[in-house]
Amino acid sequence: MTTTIADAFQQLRDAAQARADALPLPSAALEDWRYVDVKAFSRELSPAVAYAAAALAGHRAAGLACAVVVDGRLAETPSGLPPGTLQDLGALTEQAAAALIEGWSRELGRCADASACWSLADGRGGARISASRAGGGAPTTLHLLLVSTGGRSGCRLAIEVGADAQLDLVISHLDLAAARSSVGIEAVVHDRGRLRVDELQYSCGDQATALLLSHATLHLHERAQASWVACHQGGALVRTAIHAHLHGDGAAFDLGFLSVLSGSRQDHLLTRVHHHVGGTTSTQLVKTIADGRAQASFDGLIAIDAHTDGASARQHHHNLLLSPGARVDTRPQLDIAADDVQAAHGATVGRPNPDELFYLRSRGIAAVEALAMLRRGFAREPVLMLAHPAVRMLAERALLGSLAGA
Amino acid sequence: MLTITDLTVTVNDLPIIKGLSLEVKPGEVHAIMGPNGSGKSTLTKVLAGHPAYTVAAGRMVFQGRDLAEVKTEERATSGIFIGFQYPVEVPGVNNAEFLRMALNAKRRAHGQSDITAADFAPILRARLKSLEMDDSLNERQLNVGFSGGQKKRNEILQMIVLEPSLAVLDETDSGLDIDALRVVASGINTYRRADRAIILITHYQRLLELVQPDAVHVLVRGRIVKSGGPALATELEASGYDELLKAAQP
Repeated sequence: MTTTIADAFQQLRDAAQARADALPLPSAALEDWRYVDVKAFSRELSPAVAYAAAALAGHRAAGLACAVVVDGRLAETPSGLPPGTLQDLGALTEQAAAALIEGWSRELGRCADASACWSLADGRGGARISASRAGGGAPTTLHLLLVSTGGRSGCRLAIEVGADAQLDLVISHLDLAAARSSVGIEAVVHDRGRLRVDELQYSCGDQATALLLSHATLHLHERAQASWVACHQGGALVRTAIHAHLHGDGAAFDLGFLSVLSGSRQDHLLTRVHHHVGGTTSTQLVKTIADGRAQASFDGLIAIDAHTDGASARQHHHNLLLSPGARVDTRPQLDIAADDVQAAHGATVGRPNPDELFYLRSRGIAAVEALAMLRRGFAREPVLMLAHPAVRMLAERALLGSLAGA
Repeated sequence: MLTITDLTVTVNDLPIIKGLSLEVKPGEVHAIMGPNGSGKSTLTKVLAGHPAYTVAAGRMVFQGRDLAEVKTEERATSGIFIGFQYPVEVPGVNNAEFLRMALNAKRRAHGQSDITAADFAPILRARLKSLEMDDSLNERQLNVGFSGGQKKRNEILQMIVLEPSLAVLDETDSGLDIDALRVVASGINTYRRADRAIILITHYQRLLELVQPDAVHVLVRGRIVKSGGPALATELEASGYDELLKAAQP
C-alpha cells in the first residue's frame, strides 16, 4: 500500500472511530422496534485465537475459488481469477481508492448510531471485487471466507458488476472465537449485469458467534439482476441490514433468508427494497426456525416511488416455532406511492403441523425423525434458492444437520 | 391377523364407534360400507393410533399384539398400512425420499440394513410404472399440488412399496375417474396375497367389482349392523342405508 492510500484509509478509520464515539449505540430511543442491547453483547468477546488455514478445509465450497479474509484482512487469494476480480483495498489505484473513500465518508455522515460506523472504525482492510464482460460473459465465481479470530474486526467490500457481466459471490462468516465482526458491503450492478450472493453464517465448533453486524447496499441499474440468499445459524447477536435500490427499468432483486436458531441465538434482519422506477421486480422470502429461547425478527419494507407504474414486489415471512420460549417478531411493510403496481406481503407464525407429523409417523417414521423432516421441509425453499450446489451442501450440513436429532 | 373386540372409540369424549367387533384373517379382503358419519374413517384413524381418537373400551389385536400400547410408527413398521381418505400435503419433503425413509424405517424395525437411494431408485421406478404414475411425481414435494387422483395413487404406491401385512384403505376409490380406479384396483389386486389382508372402506360397489371382497360389513352409528358376502354390496347399492339406519336408531 502506498503511504498516501494507507494514510487516507487510516484517516477514514479514525474519522469512523470518532463518529462512533460521538454516537450512541442502538437503543430504544433510536429504534422504535425490536431494540437489542448491542452494548451488552459487546462485552462478551474472546481474545483472538490463532488462525490456521487448515481449520477452514471443511468450510470451503467444493469447486469454487476461495479467498480468505481474516479479521478484515485479505489473507489468502486464489489463483486463476480473471485479472482485477479481487483486489485488496491497499492495492487499489489512487483514483479507485479515492472514490471509495469519498463514498464511505458520505455514508459515515449518515450513520445514526455507533454500530453503523464499526465496519469502518474496526476495519483493518477489505477488498474490491469486480466482474466485467472481458472474460467473455462467463460468470466469475468467488467464495469469500470471512474469518473472525476474536476481539473486534471490521471489513468493507466494494463490489462492482459491469454491464452484461456476471458475478457469483459466496460469503461465509466464520467465527473461531467470540468476536465482534462488522461487515459493510456496497454493490453496484450495471446494465444487464447479474450478481448472485450466497451467504452463510455459522460457527465453527461449539463457539457461538458473539456479535455480527452486517449491512449491504445494492444498486441495480437497467435490467440488472441480483439475488441475495442467506442461511444463518445466528449468534449471541446477529443483525443484518440489506438495502436494495432498483434504479433501472427491468431491474430485479430476489432475497431468500433462512435462520435456523437454537439455544439463545438471535438473528435479526432489516430489509429496505426501494423501487425507484417502473418495470422493476422484487421478491423477499424470509423463513425462521426458532427453538429453545432463540429470538429472531424481520423488519422489511418495500418502498415504491411515485410514477413507477409496472413495479412488482412480494415479501413473505414464515416462521416455525419449536418451543414455547422461542420468539419471532415480524413487521412486513409496504410504502407505495404509485397507482399501477403489484405488491403483496404476508407473514405466518406456527408450530409443526400435527397432521403432517401424524402422516409421516403413520408410515413408520419415528416422531423425532418426522419432526426433523418437517423442519427440513420448511427450510427447503430458501436452501434451494442458493445458487451453488456446493453451498447448499455446506448450508445443509452446518444448519440443518443439527435438526436431524433435534 | 386382526381381531377387534367390542371397540368403543371417542373423540372429545363423544363416542363415535360403539362396540365394534371384527375379525380379519390372512388372505381375506373385507369391505366396510356405511353412510356418512357412521365411523368408518374413525376406525382407520384409531387403527393408525391417531392421538385425537381414544379407545374407551375394547381391544384391537394385530398379529397377537394388543395395539393399545403400540405407537403409530410401530404399528406401521409392524405391518399396518392406512391409505387415507385425505392424504396430507407435506411441503418441502421430497416424495421419493419420504418413501425411502419409510421403507428404511420398516427395514430397521426388522433388523435389515437401510436401502440406499441408488438401490431404491429402480424399485420405485418399477412400482411407479405398475401404477401408470409419472416419474416426475417423485421429484415433487409429498402430495403438494397433487390432484385428488394423484394423491390416491400415491397412497397405493406407498402401500406396494412398504408391503404391509394389513392394508386399510379409506375411500381410496373416491375422486378417481374410471381409468384411475382400474389402475388403483389393479394395484390392490397385485398386493393381495395369502399372507396379507385388506380392509376396504368404500361408499360404492364399483371398487368391489374390481377387487372382489370375501366379506362385506355395514357400519351404522358406530356398529356393524350387517355382514355378508359380496352380494351384500349389490343389495346396498340398490336399497341404500335407510332401513338399516332406522333399525339402528338409538
